Amino acid sequence: MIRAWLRFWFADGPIHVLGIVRVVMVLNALLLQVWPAVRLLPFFAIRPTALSHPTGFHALFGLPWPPDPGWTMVIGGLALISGATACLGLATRISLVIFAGCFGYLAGGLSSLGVVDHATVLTFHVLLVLIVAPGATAWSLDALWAWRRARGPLLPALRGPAGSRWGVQLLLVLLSAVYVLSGIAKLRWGGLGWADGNTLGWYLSGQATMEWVPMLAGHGVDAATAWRDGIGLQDHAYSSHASVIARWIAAHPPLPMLLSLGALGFELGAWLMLIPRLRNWVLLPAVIFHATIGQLMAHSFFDWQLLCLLLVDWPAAIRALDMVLRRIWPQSAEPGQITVLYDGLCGLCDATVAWALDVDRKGCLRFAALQSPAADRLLGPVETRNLPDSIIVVRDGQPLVRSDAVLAMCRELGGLWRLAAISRVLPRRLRDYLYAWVAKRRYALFGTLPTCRLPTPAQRGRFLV
Amino acid sequence: MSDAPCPDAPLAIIPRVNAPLPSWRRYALPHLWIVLILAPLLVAGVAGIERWPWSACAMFARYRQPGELRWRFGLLARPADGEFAAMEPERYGLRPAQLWRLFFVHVYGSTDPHLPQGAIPNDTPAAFTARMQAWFAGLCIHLRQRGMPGADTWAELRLDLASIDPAGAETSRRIIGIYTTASGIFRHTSP
Repeated sequence: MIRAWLRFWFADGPIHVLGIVRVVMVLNALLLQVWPAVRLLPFFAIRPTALSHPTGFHALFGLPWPPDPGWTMVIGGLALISGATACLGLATRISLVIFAGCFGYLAGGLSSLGVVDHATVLTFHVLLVLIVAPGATAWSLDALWAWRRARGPLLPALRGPAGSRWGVQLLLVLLSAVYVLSGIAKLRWGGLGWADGNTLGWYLSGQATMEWVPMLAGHGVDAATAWRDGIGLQDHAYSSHASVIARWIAAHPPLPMLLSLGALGFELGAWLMLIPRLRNWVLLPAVIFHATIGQLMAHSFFDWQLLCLLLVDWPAAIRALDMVLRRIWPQSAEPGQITVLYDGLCGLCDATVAWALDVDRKGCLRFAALQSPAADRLLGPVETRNLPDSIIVVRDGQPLVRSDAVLAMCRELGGLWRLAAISRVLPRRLRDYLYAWVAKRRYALFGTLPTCRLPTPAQRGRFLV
Repeated sequence: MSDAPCPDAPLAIIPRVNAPLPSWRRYALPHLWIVLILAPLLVAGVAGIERWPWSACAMFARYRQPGELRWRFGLLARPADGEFAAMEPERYGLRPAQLWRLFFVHVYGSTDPHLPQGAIPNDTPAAFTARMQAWFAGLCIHLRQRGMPGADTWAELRLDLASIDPAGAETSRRIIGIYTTASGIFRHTSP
């Protein structure tokens, strides 16, 4: 049990995604939440305290809200500067601490005005995770600085080593927790009847307008409880803007019920994203779920969508899409018909070969290092020296080089990779320029091989020596 | 293709198989952080509390029936020598959702003792009146600061509650109370 717990949280894996989460989520928070709040700070600062209610964050740290007018420039400047440095990764951890504090103060301050912003709730928790989690400093100026001192290949240095994945797992647990809590809240305050479609239909029909805030009476409230007004107001509606499609759905009763069942089922089942092979089957529908709500009710929960997209296991998603597209675009070449000559010392070329071996299920491609006698035999020693030294594809005895070589390889791999042909809309000179730009820097960017790669017995027949 | 360590490869790149678990220190800080982040969130969820940055995520959760009445708060102002006329504080830096949700949850008070956004348990008419007075005073200051026409001449402000049918028509109206600006007194007149 303990081992399973530790394996769930602390198994080693690629964690540089947290660096990408840092860049994207901090940038999003900076542009969409902090910057507007900073612009409005002078207005908030003169607002009477009676028109706000301290949030949990402000109450916990005893922070005043609205801020003192003399401090608005300091708070705003600190928030913007720490956000920029946290996004770029300069003094990353310290910047994240300061930015999380500023974000808590400003976003919490906005929520203290009466409307709890659930998008910022999630973003704030993500910032807290990033402050400590390993991997959050990937893709940062700090990593670039460390690379300048240590040298070596650039991209592995920026990406950082594999490590304990508890930060990624914590983000997944957070995300699944807020979904499951949403589902539980519906059952708690709406009962099982919430799924009958009446509640969703009520919102989709435009009853909860954004122009004024509808208050709602409780059912069966006695006169003693309703002493304020004789009605017994119980709750306010959550404002939403019902689109034309939403109103159409509301007018067709089975549809709100189906959507309610779908929403409730999705939220209560969101914990399934913690199972690795089901992760994408929850996260990608979550994006669709939010996009649909955004279309119907003008609540897109953009921050949640972003986080879902960032946590998707993209290699697995691409593999799944490739499997589907292979039925449309299967591999057409015969086994062994195409030979790929590659630079055996180059980390990028080696990774490309490993990927091609994985994708090439039919075995259409054979491989040989450009430094091997096989390359000389195939092209001739003079030709080999005169051609570009990264990847060459030989098809029907004709060598293809630069971007044509890569596109030919992708074409023969079939499936999703055939879509690479779209890049043929670019002029060949531009494609080749981009190819040459990367090829020229491939050792510096991707490094040379740290280990000797040996083909497995099954793969030996696909390598020419 | 398999990864085989070169004879002279540094040990760090050789994958460890069935390595013993590292010491507890490796896990202490992450566990502490995990608990610090998750525990308040789960407590808020279970207890049904909505207070940024913790949330029970109760939005859209309350059951609604088709055709039910909605209620709308309205504010009216009366100058010393005039009649009550509707005012629109929302036009002066107060978003409707913020103004009225905050007012309802933290000033007016819900009949639900477990309202996630903030219940006021054991509320009394005296406490209600005190909250209303503080809120009206703050509102007057704000609207005067924002230059709302006539804000300096108000003698009384009135809080109304109107019922609105699903088609958007007002079906009834009742006065909740009147606030006198000079004395800062709120008179609760309803029900």
